[in-house]
Amino acid sequence: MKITKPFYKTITAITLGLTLTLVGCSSNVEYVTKDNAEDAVTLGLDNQDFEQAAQESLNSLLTSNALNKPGGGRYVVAIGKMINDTTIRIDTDMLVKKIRIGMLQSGKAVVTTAVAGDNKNVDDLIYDVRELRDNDEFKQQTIAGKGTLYAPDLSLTGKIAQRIARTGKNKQLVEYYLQLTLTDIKSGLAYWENESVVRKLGSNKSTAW
Amino acid sequence: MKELIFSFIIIMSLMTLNGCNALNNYKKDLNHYEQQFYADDCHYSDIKDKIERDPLLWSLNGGALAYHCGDYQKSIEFFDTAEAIFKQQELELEIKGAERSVLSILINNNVNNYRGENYEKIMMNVYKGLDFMLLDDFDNARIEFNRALDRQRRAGEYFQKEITEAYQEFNRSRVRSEVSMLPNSSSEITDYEGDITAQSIYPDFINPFATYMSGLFFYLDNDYSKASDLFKQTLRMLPNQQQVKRDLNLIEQNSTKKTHYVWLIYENGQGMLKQSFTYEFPAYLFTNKVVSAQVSLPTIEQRSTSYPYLLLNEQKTTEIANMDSIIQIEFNKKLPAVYTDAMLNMASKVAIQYYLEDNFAEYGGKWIGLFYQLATDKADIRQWRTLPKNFQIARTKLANQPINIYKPDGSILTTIAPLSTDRDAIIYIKSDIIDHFKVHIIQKNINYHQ
Repeated sequence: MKITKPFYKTITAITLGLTLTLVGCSSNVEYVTKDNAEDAVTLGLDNQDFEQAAQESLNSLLTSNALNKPGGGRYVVAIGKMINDTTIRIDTDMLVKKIRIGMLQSGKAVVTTAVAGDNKNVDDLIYDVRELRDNDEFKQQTIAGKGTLYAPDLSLTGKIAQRIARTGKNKQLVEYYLQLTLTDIKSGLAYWENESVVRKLGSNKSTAW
Repeated sequence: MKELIFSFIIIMSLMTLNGCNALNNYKKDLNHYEQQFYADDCHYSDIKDKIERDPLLWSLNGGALAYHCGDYQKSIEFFDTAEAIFKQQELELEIKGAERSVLSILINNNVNNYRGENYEKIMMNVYKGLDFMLLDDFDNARIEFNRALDRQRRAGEYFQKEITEAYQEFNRSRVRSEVSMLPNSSSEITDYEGDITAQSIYPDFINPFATYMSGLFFYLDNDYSKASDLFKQTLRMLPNQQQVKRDLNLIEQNSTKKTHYVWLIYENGQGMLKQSFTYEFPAYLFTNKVVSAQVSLPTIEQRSTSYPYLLLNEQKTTEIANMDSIIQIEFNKKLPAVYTDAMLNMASKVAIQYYLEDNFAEYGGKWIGLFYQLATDKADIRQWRTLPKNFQIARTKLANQPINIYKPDGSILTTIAPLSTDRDAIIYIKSDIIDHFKVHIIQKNINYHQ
């Protein structure tokens, strides 16, 4: 079979035309910018989620009577371990801080920073100052004496858990469970527990983190 | 006018080729990287230069090198960069949808930045988890293993069609009818009821090592409930993996605190290698205006194992995942699209040769087109080069010290420095080729705080 020149020319023109058209209508890589960022759904936890969950937990704690010490007075609360069992790097302090402030403002509890589940919640100066007991440069009577620290009555521990499931064809449901427990250290009994749930639905094309 | 068009084509070609990845010799670069790995050369300046050119490819390979070198913080930095790029790619897909890259058709796929594979995403998070464990930062390790597990879920969805087909095939097969006829008293079957399910189809589609390693992490982090779930998931994929059965029994018999153990994780050999395959069509038989019509496609080939197994004192390692199979399955799934791109690429280059010869024969026409084709005809062979051929596991009591790791011939590969006997430990050994290995020891600090 003889293939004619016009045939080749037509094929060539179509191929080049198609490729040039395609070159004109697409690019290699497009970065997410301020203009199109709204299309990208955030499935992580944001400040508002923390604020809401912390407020919900605080309301539950203050109305539960768990902080009403029999005979009056205030409980000493230590901040225990906060486990982040999710796929996102979270500063768990964001959840705890609001509850600490609320507890202090309620007048029913004080928080110790002498002992905690995480070193980051311990105030190192408490121990640094005690290291100065034999230092002549300091008035020894201004240095905290032995046996002055308060042991905690209660410990506040928590966990942020996450469950991710595909829903429908292209969506994923991401659920966060912000769980808090207040435990009586002497008896080991939990006086109060709360769970706040944050649900987010977004595209399944990208990961939640 | 013709001269003007001709000059325009030449200038466009040069501009396209100059400064892009299309002409990069990835084979040479990746071979050089692999040699650096074997030589335990822990200088990253080369990698950092290459990251500028192809960020994902070299972040993944850089992360693996830093892990190998025991520079765990740097490894996390490399992998974090890689993970941010993966996220960027996913968001772009979200906004723009999938589309065929025109540049990959006109030039080759190397002109696009590397996009990575699903199994690489999973292994990236597993390695990051290991990095954090080795830095005694179990809080961050937990996040990475959770990510690896979510990526496993996504891999299952990605291969949903293939998994369903494999399951249907399994149901039709004789194996299925034989399994269903096994007596209930068979200990292999009754240990875990209903384990011969679609899950046993999974090992090649997702990575059982990632699930098992995550389970082991949660075990060491005292989260026995989660560890138990993950060991069970691993067993559903590998119903006959005896070591995982023993690990699960450890939790179910509530003996986690009574005795402390040391696990050996053995990364064996070199994983599948991407190569380039070129086929030449005899276009000159049909026209004298085309010099060459060739297509370059990636292929993968198996490489060697290191020691077929190791011995942790007397305990022989057994396979938990075949990385080669995992790589092969994903390669096969992507091959039709790669093939189509390569054929379109060839067609466009033949068309260029023809057009140039037809209109600019006096300037060299088709020969310039041929030069362009030869310069740009390169298959995409980019990959994470240092993944192993398979993963193996073993466990023994920590009290059995000194701990020796033996080669199959009975000679000692290495003796592990004394480990604390009051908590569990992991010995992680990678041996890509005989006589080359690296040991990493994980033992959680008993006073660990973030």
